[in-house]
Amino acid sequence: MYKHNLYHNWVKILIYIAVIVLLLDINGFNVQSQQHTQSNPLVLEILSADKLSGTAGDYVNVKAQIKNTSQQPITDVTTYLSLVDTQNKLPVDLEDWSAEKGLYIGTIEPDQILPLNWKIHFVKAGTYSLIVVAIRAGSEIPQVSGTISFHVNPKHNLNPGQVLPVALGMPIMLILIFSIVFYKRQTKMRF
Amino acid sequence: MVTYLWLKEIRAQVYTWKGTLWLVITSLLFSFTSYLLLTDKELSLLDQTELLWLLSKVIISVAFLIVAIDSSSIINSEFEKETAESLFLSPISIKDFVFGKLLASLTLWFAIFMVATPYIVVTSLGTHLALPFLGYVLFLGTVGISGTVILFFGVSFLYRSAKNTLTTSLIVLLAFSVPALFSSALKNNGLAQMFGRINPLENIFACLDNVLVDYRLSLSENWRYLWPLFIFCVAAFVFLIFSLNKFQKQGVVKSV
Amino acid sequence: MNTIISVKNLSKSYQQVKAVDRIDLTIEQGEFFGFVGPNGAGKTSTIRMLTGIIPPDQGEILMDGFTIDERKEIARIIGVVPESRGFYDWMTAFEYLQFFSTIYGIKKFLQPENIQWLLDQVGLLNRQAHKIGTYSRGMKQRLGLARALINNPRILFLDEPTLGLDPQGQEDIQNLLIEFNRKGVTIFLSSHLLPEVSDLCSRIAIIDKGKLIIQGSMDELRQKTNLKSTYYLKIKGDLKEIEDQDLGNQIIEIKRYSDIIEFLYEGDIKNVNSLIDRLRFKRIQILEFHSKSDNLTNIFLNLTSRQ
Repeated sequence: MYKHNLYHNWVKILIYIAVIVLLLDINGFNVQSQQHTQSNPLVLEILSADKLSGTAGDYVNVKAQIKNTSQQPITDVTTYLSLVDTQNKLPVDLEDWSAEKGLYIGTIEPDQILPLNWKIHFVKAGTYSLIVVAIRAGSEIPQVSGTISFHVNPKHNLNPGQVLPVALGMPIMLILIFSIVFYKRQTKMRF
Repeated sequence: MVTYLWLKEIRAQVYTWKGTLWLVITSLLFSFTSYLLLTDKELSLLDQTELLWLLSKVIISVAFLIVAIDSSSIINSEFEKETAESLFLSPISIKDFVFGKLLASLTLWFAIFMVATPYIVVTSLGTHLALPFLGYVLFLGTVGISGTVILFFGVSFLYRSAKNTLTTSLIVLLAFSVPALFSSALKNNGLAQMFGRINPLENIFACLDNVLVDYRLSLSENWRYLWPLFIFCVAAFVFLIFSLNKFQKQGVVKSV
Repeated sequence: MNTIISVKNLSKSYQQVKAVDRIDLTIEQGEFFGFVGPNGAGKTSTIRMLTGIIPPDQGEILMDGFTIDERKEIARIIGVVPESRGFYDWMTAFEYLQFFSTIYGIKKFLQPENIQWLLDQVGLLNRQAHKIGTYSRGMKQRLGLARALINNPRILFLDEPTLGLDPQGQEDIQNLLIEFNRKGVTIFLSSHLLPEVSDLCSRIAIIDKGKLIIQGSMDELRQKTNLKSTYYLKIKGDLKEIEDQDLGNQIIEIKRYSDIIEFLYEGDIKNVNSLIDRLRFKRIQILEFHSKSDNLTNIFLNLTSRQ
């Protein structure tokens, strides 16, 4: 009987300890969550993921949105694109793709969703990964969207703008003209 | 008199293969450049106006180089081949001589421009920029090349040596071209900006950029690039007068 | 006779070296004037100043009434075969002369006939359609002369015109010059070939170290330099037939070849004529007789201190 009581007591003690630990964990998680929510209150999402693939030379719109999930307005936010060539494992200079601009948001109210839009020019064929990044004043941690992959198909055109007739024709025509001129002069000199 | 000298030079350019070779090489260069610009996977995806600007730069640069080489020898060859004495024993004045040679050098430029015209037209298709492209390349090229030729003629009369004149001409051309290689930071440097204001080549390129890329077609909108070109021509002419005075004091044949 | 070229006090220096030093020359219209001197004497500099190629440092030049400042007018009345022999190698001879014809203002319809005639005169008619670059030196020389004559000049300046020509070519050119001189063209000839100068020229000037040493006809030069004339006589016969008094003591050299005797006779032309008469009287056959033109050579060497 004494042993049974002792066992019961130990179980109770263990249960109490477990509850306390559990409570502390949850609190800790909440704290972390709160902290995380407090440092990354912005949520970014790319909306036009399925419309991004195309052919070199195409212009496409990258549509995204930014949401303030915190209870306070957030000021001084800059959003921009970041693009990586996944085939060559290189970041891409967005100036070539005409998408180097940053979009500045002065204030985003709590729970407010704002649209983001970039016009991007597919310059080179390949496979790419795109993210949207947001940085705000007073925070060391940037917010990024999910990664979107897309493919740009190559553009082949052997005679764009009908340049071939001119590119080939002009030198041939000049050589022909000068050959005739020289031949005429040689004939004149012979007689 | 000027006409006869000019025609003699044209015939010399054709019959000695010099001019004909230049034109064929120029045509091949333009063919390569226009094909590259229009078919290369990356470059063909430039804005067409940027493409036109690139092509205009190639045309002007090639023309400057060829005419510089030609004008370095067109006068000196008369002294080195000893034909100058026979020429000046006839009723030809130094003015006739210089104008005849100048017309011949400019004719080479016009021939290069004629060769470039089909390339300009084909790359401008769809932009309505063909005429402004042609007009401005012709106008700027003529003014810039005239000034450059006059400058090199002045050098020719001073040196009377084709080798020395050519070396000086190429150094001058290099000096005109080097700023194009500067990074944006260097271009913003005060000295670089000052040089850029007087550099004829840079003013020509900037004017073409203004016309083809920014679509500013009127002369008044481009005046800030044009007046340095005119000043350059005037300065080159003054230098030529100085050289000619020295030449006339020394005589056609420098020493026995 | 009118003075066609008048030169007074002509001077030219190259970096403190006096190339031409106060030369005075007067040349009459229609004269065949010789201008000789050693290398570096200033002949070419003088010709270049007279033709307007280089400006003189000082002096006055009048060419048929035109001053040297009236270069275009002078260019129309003179023809020059200069020292420098540059040509446009890519041109044919016909094109070359046509180019200069046009510059001289000769009407287009007259040009072909004029050019063909000139090329015939200088012996290049059958090479007129060939590029000058294929010509020999002598042919280029002839072409230079043709170019100098293209404008039918009143005064012809020639700087070594027969240099590089074979003897036949030299003779052809000399005959052509004599013909032009007979037509009234004043000729100013500078040459190192002293026999050519003394044969052709009525008056000769000798220049050395930029200074004019002497000028005049051959006889005047001889008188001024006290040198006697030398004559060459080739006779067939026996000298025994000829007495000493016939020859006098003016024989300076005798050569005998079987029955031919050559001797050099120094004396007055009157005495030479008497000698010839005496020889003929003695029925001595005269095979050859001429003046020895290296007399000018002797004068030249004597005066320019190269002897």
